[in-house]
Amino acid sequence: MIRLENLTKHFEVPGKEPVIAANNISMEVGKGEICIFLGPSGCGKTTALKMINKLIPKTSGKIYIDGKDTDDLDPITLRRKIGYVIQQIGLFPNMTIEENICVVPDLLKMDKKQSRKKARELMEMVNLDPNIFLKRYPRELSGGQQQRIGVIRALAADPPVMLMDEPFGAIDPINREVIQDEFLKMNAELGKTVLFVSHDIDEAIKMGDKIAIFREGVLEQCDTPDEILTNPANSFIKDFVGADRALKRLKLINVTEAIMPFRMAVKSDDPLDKVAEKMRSRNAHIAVVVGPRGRARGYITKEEIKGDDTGIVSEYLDPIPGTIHENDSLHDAVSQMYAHASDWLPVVDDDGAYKGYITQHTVASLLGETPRKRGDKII
Amino acid sequence: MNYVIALIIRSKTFLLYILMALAFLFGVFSESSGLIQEFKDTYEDWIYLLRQNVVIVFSSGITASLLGIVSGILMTRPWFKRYAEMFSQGFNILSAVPTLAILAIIMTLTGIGFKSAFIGLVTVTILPVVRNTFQGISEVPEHMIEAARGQGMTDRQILWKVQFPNALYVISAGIRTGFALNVGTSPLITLIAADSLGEYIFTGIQLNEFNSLLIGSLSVASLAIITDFVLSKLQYWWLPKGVNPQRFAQE
Repeated sequence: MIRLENLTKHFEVPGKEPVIAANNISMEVGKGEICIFLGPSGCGKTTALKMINKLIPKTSGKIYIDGKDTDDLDPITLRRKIGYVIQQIGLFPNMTIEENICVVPDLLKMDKKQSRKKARELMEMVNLDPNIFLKRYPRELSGGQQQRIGVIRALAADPPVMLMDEPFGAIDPINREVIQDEFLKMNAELGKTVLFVSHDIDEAIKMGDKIAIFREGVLEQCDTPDEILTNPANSFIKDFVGADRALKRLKLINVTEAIMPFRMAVKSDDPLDKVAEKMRSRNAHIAVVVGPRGRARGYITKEEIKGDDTGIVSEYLDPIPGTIHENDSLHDAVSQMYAHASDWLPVVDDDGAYKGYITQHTVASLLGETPRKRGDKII
Repeated sequence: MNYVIALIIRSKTFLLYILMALAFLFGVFSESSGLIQEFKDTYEDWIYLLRQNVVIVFSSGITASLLGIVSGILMTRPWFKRYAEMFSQGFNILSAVPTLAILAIIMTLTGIGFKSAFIGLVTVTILPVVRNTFQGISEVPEHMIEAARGQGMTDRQILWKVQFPNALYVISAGIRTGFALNVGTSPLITLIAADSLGEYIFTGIQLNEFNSLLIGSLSVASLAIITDFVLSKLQYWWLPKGVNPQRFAQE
């Protein structure tokens, strides 16, 4: 979808060596992917982004969007086909929210009725009531609301590509989480190709299908978040992603991936000798007691039922330490385990039915087992 | 004492009584000093001079506002940027020149009469308009322009859809200042033989006629207040709500 080839930018400084803000950047972002440009400030990520819609003229190299060389397009036409979101939002105070959203459709002389209808739809996607907000002015909105409008303004003319320059950087942490989630949900539906500048590694891991890490104008590594966390290409990236990169991966992995391969579900009136036999054969320490509708009601441990061959399960029932949804991340699961001082958690689905369980041990071995794929050394 | 002041401030009715009393005293004073008689005697002159004064104030004010906005916009254009600073310094220096001196200089160039007075008043009024237009447009935040450019606006669209509307409040403030200067200068044009209420004032000074002086100065003062009041109302209602601090301050 977007291909950069040897993209280079030299900023001329009178009387000094030119500053190289982008040095031979080559990369490719597929259709519908979100690619995060990540790096410390002054690393050239914003320059690289702005060269794509020609806000900064490039020194050399090629940019292809959808296979077309952008040199052949004039900047105005090109920019109208690319959504653009900036950190300072940049809504126009003289226009109502509706006019702000419809700026590009109006520039393109699209049908007014259509674009107004589209504006309403987009507002509903970001949970702002169009009846309340469309006729208001930007200064009547909070910062978070304004940036939501900033994002949907970029989407109003339905461009296939979006460029976002630290869009959520100025929003308070709580609102940022919400607006990030909204954006991910929205883009899952719209399937735009997004290039997204950020200096926040956590944001990059959360939002990105791909992360491109820059240093001093050089593209150091461009890979999936998981790959960058497990196999950082060099010591700079290793330091940049942080010493807790293993913990950061917890956010990327789903509970279902760490679930035990057997459910170990028993009923409360099962005889203990059979249960003990089952546990021994699977080498499990825990069996979860499920009710008639499949919900987890409690658990028994191997130690407790040892030596009792005649009783039934319900005599030894302990209450479960809490549950975790199968679509949650391991990060949430581990956090719950610590909160309940437990080393395991039963996993449930949407209906609350018991699906299996995860233990700290399975989580730990899952994080540790991913082999170093490239075999290259980290110096 | 504080109690009395607080009472006066709080009680609108009381304030009204005081105003009525003042008006009454003023009436007594003007009757006894012959001010009203003088006004009656010269009423036709007064109407004529007032009309002349209003005509020249508004014609020159509107001309100056239009010219000022146009030249202010031209000063912000990229090809002019190099000289813009020089020009705006020049305008600042010009506005330090006393208005009487401006009139005198123009009189030496174009003679006496309405034409010279008109040019003089335009010169006086245009300075704050140009300065505010230039500043208002230059001070539109850079990120807003980047957002506009990033969305594919041409330079001209950025000017008319973003920069100019957002500078409107500053520009309108410049126009109000210009008009205030204009009205303030208008009595002086009597000196270069153009009709204005200044005739009352200068006759009063020369003949030591207190009443004539009073009629002239009160009329000009009222004209100034009314002009500014009308302009402030226009500013309030004409400027779009999104760029009008007076209107969003209330909400």
